Amino acid sequence: MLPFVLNRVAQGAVILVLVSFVAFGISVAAPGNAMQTFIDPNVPPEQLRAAEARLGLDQPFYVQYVRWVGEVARGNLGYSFRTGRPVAAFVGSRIGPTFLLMGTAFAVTLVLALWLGTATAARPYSALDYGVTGAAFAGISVPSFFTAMALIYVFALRLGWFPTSGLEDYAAGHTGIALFLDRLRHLVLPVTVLVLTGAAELVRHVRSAVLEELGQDYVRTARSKGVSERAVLRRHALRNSLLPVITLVGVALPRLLAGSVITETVFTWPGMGRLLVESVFARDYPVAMAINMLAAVLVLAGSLLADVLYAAVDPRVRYS
Amino acid sequence: MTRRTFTRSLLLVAVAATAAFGAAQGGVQRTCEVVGGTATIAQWSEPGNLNPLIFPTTYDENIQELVFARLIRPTETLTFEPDMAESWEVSEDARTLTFTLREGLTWHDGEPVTARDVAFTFTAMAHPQYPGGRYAEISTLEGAEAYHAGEADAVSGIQVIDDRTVSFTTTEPFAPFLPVIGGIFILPEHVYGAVDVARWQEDVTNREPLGSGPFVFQQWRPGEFVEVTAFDGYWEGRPCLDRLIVRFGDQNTMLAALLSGELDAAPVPIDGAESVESNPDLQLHVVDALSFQYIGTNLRNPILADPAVRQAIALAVNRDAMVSGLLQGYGSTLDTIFPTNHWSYPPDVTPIEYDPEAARALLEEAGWVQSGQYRAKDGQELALCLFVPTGNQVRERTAPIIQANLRQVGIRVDIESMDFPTLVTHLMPQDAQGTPRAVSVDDFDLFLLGFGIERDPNEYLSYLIPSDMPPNGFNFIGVDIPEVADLMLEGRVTLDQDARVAIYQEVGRLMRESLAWIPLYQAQELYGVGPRLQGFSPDVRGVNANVANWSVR
Repeated sequence: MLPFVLNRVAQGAVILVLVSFVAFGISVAAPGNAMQTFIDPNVPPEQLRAAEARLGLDQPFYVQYVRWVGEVARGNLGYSFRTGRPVAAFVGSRIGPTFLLMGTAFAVTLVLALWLGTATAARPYSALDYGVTGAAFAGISVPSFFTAMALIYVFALRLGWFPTSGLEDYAAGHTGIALFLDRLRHLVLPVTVLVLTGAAELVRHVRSAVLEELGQDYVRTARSKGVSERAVLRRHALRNSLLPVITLVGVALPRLLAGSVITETVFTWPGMGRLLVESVFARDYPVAMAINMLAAVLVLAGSLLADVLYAAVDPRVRYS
Repeated sequence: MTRRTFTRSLLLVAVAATAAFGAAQGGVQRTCEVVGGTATIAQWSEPGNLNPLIFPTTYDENIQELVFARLIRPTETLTFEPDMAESWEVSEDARTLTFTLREGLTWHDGEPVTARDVAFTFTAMAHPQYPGGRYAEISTLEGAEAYHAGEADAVSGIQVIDDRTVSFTTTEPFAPFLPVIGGIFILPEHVYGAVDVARWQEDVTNREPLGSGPFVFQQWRPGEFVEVTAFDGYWEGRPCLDRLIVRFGDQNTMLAALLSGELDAAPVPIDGAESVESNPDLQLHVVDALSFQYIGTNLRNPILADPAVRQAIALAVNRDAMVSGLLQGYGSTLDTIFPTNHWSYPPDVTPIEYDPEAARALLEEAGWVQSGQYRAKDGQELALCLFVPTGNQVRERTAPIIQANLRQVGIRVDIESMDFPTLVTHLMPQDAQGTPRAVSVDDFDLFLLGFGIERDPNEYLSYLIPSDMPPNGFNFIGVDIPEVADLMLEGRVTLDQDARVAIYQEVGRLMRESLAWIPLYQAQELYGVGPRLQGFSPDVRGVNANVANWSVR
C-alpha cells in the first residue's frame, strides 16, 4: 500500500508541474495584463509600463514562468498584483470559509444521496422514486446561479428566514455561541444550492449501483436465509454498491470547489472561488495561480483518497 | 494685485447650507440627529489598495476618503473648499500656491499634522522608486523631474515654510494644479515614511491606513467588509456615527441585502430601481454623475475618417430609446464629449437628433449606395466591427440596439464582446515582442467605452492631442484637430476660470462637429437607503458626500 501511495504522490508532483505550466500559460496568454486594467487619464502609459516592468510583465512568458516556479520552489508565492498582499496569506485567509462551505455541503450531500439513493432503489418506480428522480434531474439541469437567486428571493426576501449574503451579521459583532448560530444561519442557503446541484447526480448513481447489487445472487441468498429486507439493503447491497460511489466522491471534491465559484460570488461568501473570479478579471496571476494549484492538489488528493478507500472497502482490491 | 484668500469664515458659509454648526471650545461641532450607532453600507467591488497613492480606483477612494483628508476638497458645484488647509494664496506670477494648515490638526494616532507631512506626501509621488502611477499629476512641480530622475535630493518646488505653511511652485502657470491638490490625500510621514516607498503596495500600511479624516480605520476582512469608527479629533467635529461598515459584493446580492434590511444603504442597479421604489421602507436617491458612454471610432480607418459616415452613425443611433428603455429614464443623452452637468459642457451645442432618413441621405451623398441589405462603395461593403467591453450591463445591451439601428441605414455592424483588459490590448496594441506600438487601421473599428471627469477637463488632454496617440498616450482613436489640441494646451495654462470655461466649451463644440467620439448617454447613479439611516445624501462627488453627518435611528 505504502509504495503505491508514494508512487501516486510522485506522479502527482509531475502532474502538478504540467498543470502549473498550462495554467500559467493560459493566464499569460489571456489578453491584457494587470496594469492595463488601470487605464486612467491621470496615469500616462509610461507610468503603466514602469509598473509592468516592476512586476515583470514585460518579460516573455517562459521568463515569467521560470521566475514564478523558482519563487514557488523557495516557498514564496509572491504578492498580489492588484492589492500587494502576500499571496500565501491572502489565499490562506479564504481557505477557511471555502472549506466550511464545501465541507458542510459535502457532508449533507453524502448523507442525503446515500439515504435517498438507497430508498429509491428499494422501491424502484414508486412515487418516491419518480419524485426523487424528477427532482434530481431538475437539480442537475437548473444552473446554480439561478437556484441561488431563487432561494435568496424566496427565503431571504419573501419569507425573511435567512440572510441574503455574507459570512455573518457584521454590524452585530456576535461572539461565542451567538456567532456560531449566526454563521449557521448564513450557511443554510449557499449549502442548499451546492447540495441541490451536487446531490442530484450522486443520488442517481447510488440508486443504480444499489439496484444492480440487489439483483445479485448473494442478495437472493441472503433473502432466502431470512435476512430482513432492511439488513439486506443496508448491510449487503449498500455496502457493495459503495465502490463506484467512492470513485464519484473523489471527483466530487474538486467539483464542489468549482461550484463554489458561482455560489460564493452570488452569496458574497469570502472564499477562494470568489477570489479566483476577481483575480482572473483583474489579471492578478499570482493569486489566480495559487488557487489553481490548490484546486489541482485537491483533485489529485481526492482521486488518491478514492483509490485508498477502494482498497479499504473492497478486500479484492490490492495495490502492489 | 490678484490675491485670493479663503478663510474659515468663508468655509462656514459654504457648508452651512448642508449642515448646522454650533460653536464649541476651539473647534467646530456638528449637530447630529443622533450620536452613535453603526451603519452598514455596500459597494459593488472590493478595494484593492488603501494607500491612496497606489493606483486608486473609485472603489478604493470610497474607503480612502473616510480615513484621509486633503488640503482642499471639491464642493458640490466642483469648486474647491478648505479641508486640512484653512486658506491658500496664489502668487502674482501664478506659479506658486501657498497653503496654511488649520491649527491643532492631528493624525488618528494623536501625532500632530505638520506641513512636513504635506511635503512628504507630494515628494513621495515623485520618488524614483514610487510605484503608484500618480507621478504625472505633480510632474509640473519645479524640480520634480530632477528628483524623479534621481538627480536631486528633494523637489525644489515643494517648500515647508513653517509647521503650518507649505508652498508648491510649478514650472509654468498650471491651471489644473488646484484640482490635482484637491485629489491627493495627505499621508503621515511618521507612518508611511518609515516604509521604503518601493514597497508601499506590499506593506501593511496599504491595508491598514492611518490618516486624519473623519473615521479611524479598524479592520478590513478581505472579501467581506471594511470597518471604520468615528475620529474624535476630526477638525470638522466628530462624525455622528460611532461605526461604519462597508461591505462589498455582487450587485444583485447587495440589492437583495438592502431589500431584506441587512444594509442601510447600497448602490442600486437600474433594473433594481423599481423594487426599491415599490418598497415602503426604502428611499431611492438619484444622483447625477460625471461619466457618460460613447462610441469610439478608429479614424485611421478610411470609412470612419469620412465625417459624413460618423455623422450618419450619430444620426442613426436612437439614443433617446436607450435612455427611456435601458436606463428607464435615469439619465440623459449628451451631445459632446463633456458631461452635461460639468462647467465645460457648452449649453448651446448643436443637439444630435435621431434622424435615420438624414443618415441615409448623408451616406448616399458620400457615395455609399445600398446593395442588398447593406451599403457599398467601389465594391467595398459598409461593414464595421464594434468592440463591446463586458462589465457594464446597460452598456452591453446598447450594442445590439446600435447594430439594429445602423442596419436600418445600411451599415453592417458585427459585435465582438470582450472583457476590459482585452479591449485595452486592441486600443493600446503591442508588437510580437510585447513592445507598445502605434495603432493601425486593423486594430479596431468602433468600440464602446465610458469616460468620467474626476475633477478637471484637463484629464481629456491625453485623449485629444495628436502627440499622445499610443504608445505615448490615450488618443487611441487618432484624433488630430489642431484647434482642439491648441485649446487643450491653452486650458492648462489659463488660470482665469471664465476663460477656461470658454476654452473647454469651444472644445466641446468642435468635438460635436467632429463626432470622433459619438456620445451616447449619461446614466445617473442610484442609491437605495433604508429606514434607519438619516442624512444620507450622495451627490456628484460620490456616495460619501456628507458621510460625517450620517446618523442612525
